[in-house]
Order: sequence, then structure tokens, then C-alpha cells
Amino acid sequence: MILETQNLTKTYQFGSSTITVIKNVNLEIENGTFVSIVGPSGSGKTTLLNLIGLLSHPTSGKIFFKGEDTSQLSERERRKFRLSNIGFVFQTFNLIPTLTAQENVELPMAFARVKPDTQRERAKDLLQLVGLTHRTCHRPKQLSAGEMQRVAIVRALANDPSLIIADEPTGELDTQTGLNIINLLLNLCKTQGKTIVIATHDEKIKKIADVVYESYARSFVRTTVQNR
Amino acid sequence: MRITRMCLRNLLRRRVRTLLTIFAIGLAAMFIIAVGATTSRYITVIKEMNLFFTGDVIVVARGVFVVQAFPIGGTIQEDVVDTLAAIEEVQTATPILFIPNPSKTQGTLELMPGNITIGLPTKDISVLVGPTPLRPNGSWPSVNSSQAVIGAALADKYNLTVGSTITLREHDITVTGVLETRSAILLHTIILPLKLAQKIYGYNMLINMIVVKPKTGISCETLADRIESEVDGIKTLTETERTEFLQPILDEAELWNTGLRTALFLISLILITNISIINTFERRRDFATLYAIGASKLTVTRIVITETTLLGFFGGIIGTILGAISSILIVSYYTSIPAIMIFPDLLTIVPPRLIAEILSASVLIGALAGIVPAVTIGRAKLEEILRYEY
Repeated sequence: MILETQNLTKTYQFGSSTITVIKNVNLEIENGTFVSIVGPSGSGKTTLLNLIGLLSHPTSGKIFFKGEDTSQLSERERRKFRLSNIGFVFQTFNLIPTLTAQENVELPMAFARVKPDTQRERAKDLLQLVGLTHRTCHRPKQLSAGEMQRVAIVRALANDPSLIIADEPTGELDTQTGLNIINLLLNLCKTQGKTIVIATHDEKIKKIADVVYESYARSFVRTTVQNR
Repeated sequence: MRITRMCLRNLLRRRVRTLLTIFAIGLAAMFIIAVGATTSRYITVIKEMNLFFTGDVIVVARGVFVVQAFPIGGTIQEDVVDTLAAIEEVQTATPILFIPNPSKTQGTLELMPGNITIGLPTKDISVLVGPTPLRPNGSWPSVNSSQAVIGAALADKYNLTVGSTITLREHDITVTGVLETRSAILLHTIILPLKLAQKIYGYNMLINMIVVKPKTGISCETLADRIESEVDGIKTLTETERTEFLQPILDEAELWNTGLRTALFLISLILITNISIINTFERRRDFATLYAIGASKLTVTRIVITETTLLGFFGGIIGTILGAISSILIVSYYTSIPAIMIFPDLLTIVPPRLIAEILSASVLIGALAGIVPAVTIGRAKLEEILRYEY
């Protein structure tokens, strides 16, 4: 088990009113699985991903990562944990616009204090993995949407994390490009053993996922388990 | 290194804003340098005035306004010199007619404000100029002649040499020498025989200051007391009194200089802070992404502060260059020396200490200006930025 949540709840306070976004979410995610979090807009998918990605704190409940209770971690420890264990892929790619593709991929390694030479080599290897060798020196605005998302995916892989969290990674892409991205993520899951947690309302992704959690009454319940 | 490169690219990405900010900081730094250089120039002149007649007692008319040793207006009967010379403690008494800013001067020489005419007995010129030499072929004016020695700044400005004629109040005067000096006062001075100066400026048998040198072993204070007890209608100024008079002027100049400098620093600080807040606000999603992929708060703070520091640094560089140029032009204007000739003395006019001070202050201001935006972005809620700001 790479990730487990226990009664995860997140509420927001808006003035005098309290809004519960997710309530008592219990996830059990096995290592090397492709997990799809499905639900309509506003169902709390992104909130859930932010919580399991340690980007925000739950109001109540616990998150265990490889058996370790992350609620005990300080902010600094959470950052370090995130840096080495979790990779993020965003819907809008979120590449740093002033850096080239290669530099964007090098960035998480720089934060992890990897040697510059190693950073460069690994970034090139990763970009080669997604067929972007010819784009290493291009900045995001010089790349297509699909290319940007591929750069974002390899950036997420830079520090070789075991968990990749992708928040609607195909949301900004056309159907074919979206499919390519999904195949890329699926391939990473199957060939490199990465655990992929992907938030989507794309039915195609739902069909290929090993495990599907669907929103239900402010929570997410496991609805599908496919054995490949 | 990566951070610096990233910051430079971020700044270049908003070229116009960055350039305008750097230019504005540069202007502020330029004013600081120019004001500093000008103020130090004035202070130098004032201090230099105090260097004249060291160890002597200056006698001026009572009630007259005196800038250091030099009276602005006022008259003393010339025969007072004889009275003073007769005092036992007096070694010499030199009459001087000091005319600052001669106005409505007609003729070939159009004097700019700041020029001075001094008339004194030709035998006593050394009392004023000390060992200052003349340019080659020059000579001191003869007794009762229509001759003058002029400062190098005047000579250079009006292209005057030995033998040239200048006209002061319709009196033609022959230049017999050019003072080769670095004294800001003597550079602009026309030295005439006393009688000629009295004639030109209508001071018949009148002077406005007397330089009294005490005999060896006699203190200036004792001599000053003796003079004031013997002669009516005059005021004596010892070196100590002149220095005491100088200090408030210097203090005030320094106060204004410091005040202006502080104000300009604050303006620069506010400007960079403001620009940086806008820059970081626009890039909140980038910063949130950096946090999400593992950047520490320190890294993000470094990025913000590096950017503002770079703005301050480049502003400081530009300000130093503009400030040096403007200082040369200001000094050139006040001394009438062509700017190109002043250039070798650049480091005297704009001392390295002032340059270092401006650059350090610019960098410091830049660094300080990054604090508020860095703290603001550090407090932002990651998940909200990543979620809502596309």
C-alpha cells in the first residue's frame, strides 16, 4: 500500500458558514496502480488530490504514505516528502514560462540539490523518453499543448517519485493528444511501476484505470477494480 | 546561478516595466550623486574660504554679513589700516577690497555669478594667493597700473591669455598673468591693484576688509580684543570664530544632503516594492507551482529578492553613470572648466566612496524591497492559487 487515507475531511470557512468539500474519504491505493478519481465539477476531486499531494492540510482524518502518518510532518518535512515522493501534473501544465523545457525538468532536481551535470543528463533522458529531444531548448510558449503536458509529466518524474498526481491532465488537450498523454501515464505505470492518481471526468480514463473512485455524497467510493 | 538566470529572464519578460523601474531608480541615484557632488563642492569652497588667512585676524565693518573671512558689502575707511599697523602687536595690516559677483559688468568679459574681484596692494598679493604660481610668461600687476591677474577658469572660459584685454565697468584692463590654481575661489578671481579696484567699483579711499597678521607670540584672540578696543565701527574675526561660524553652515548643508538622500532612497524603495508586488502577484501561479514541485519558502524568497536586488543593482549602475556625468556638468558649469578637462578628476568629484555607497544602497534597497512581496507570496494559499488562477 503506497497511500491510505482515513476519514479524510476538508471544510472551508466562509464567514459564518462552513462548507464541507469532502467528508470521510477512505482511499486505499496500491503501489504501481493506475487510479482514477472521477466526479463532476465541484465534487472535491482537486481538493482530494491537494490533500494526498500534501499541498494542503485536512480538517480531519489522516493520510498514510507508505505507512507513515503524514499529519505528523512539519511544513518543511512535507515539502521534502513531496519533493522526493510525489510528482504533480496540472491541467494547465504550469510550466515556468521563462525556463526552457529542459530547465523546467531540471527544476525539481535543483530543489533536491542534485548535481547540475546529473540534472542535465536526467532531464535530457526524460525528454527523450517522451520524444521531446528536439524541444529541450524551447520555452513553453514555443511548445504545443501536448508537448507542454509531456514536459510537465517528465518534470513530475524528475526526482523519480513513486506517486504521480495528475489533476485533469487532458482537460486542455484535444482528444487525440489527450489520449496520447493518458497512454504515456499508463505506460509509466506499467513499465516503471509508478502509482498514478488521476482526477478526471473523462470516461476513457475511467475505463483504463485499475481502480476508480467515484464521488458520492461528498465522499469518494471505490467503484471499479480491474485486474489486468 | 539558475535562480539569477531565471530572475533575469523574468525581468526581461516584462521589459518595459523593468526598464522604467531601473531608469527611475537610476534617476534617483543620479540625483543623490549629483546633489552629493554639488554639496561637497560647496562645502569644499566654504572650507577653502576658511583656509585663507590662516592665523590672521580679519577686520570688517561692524554689522556686515561675512562668509568666512569674506565680507558681503560693508566699508572701512582705508586709513584704519594705518591705525592697525601702529598697534604694537600687529606685524602687518593688508587692506583688501572684496567684490563678490560683480554685476552689470559691461564689455568683453561677461562675468557669470560666482566670479570675484579682489583688489589689494600689489606688494601684498601673496597674502591672498600664497605660493600659487602663474602660467608661463605671466607676471604680477605693477603698482597703480591697469593690470590684472585672473583665475585659470576665467582665462579658459573666455580664452584669455597674458596680454589680453578685459573690460570691467568701462575700464580696460590688461591681463598680465593667469593663476594656475585648483582653488575654486581663485579660479574665478580677478586680482587688481587696490587703487584700480577702488576706482572701478567706486570705493574711493574705502576698503571692506583688512587682514591683520599678529607678531610672533601674540595670539589672535588677544590681538582681536586689542583691535576692537582701539578702533570703532569694526568687527574682528579670529580663525576660531570663523570656524565656529562655518560649522552650522556645513551642518545644514549636510542635513539637507542627508534628508534628500533619505527621501530618494525611500522613493526608490517604495517604487521597487510596488513593482515587485505587481510582478509577484502576476506570477502567483508560477510561485505556487514552484512550491508544489518542491521549492522551499527560502528558494521562493530568494527568487523574489534576487529580482528586486537586480533592479536595484542595475538602477544603481545607471544612476552612478548618469550621476557622474551630471556631476561633471555641474562642476563644469560652476567652474567654467570644459567638462572634458574635468573628466580626469572624476574620482575627485564623485569619490569612489560615494559610488560604493550608492551601489550598496541600491542593492540594499532592492533586497529590502523584496521582503514584502516575498512574505506575501509565502503566505498565499497554494491550493487556491493552483486551482483558481489560470
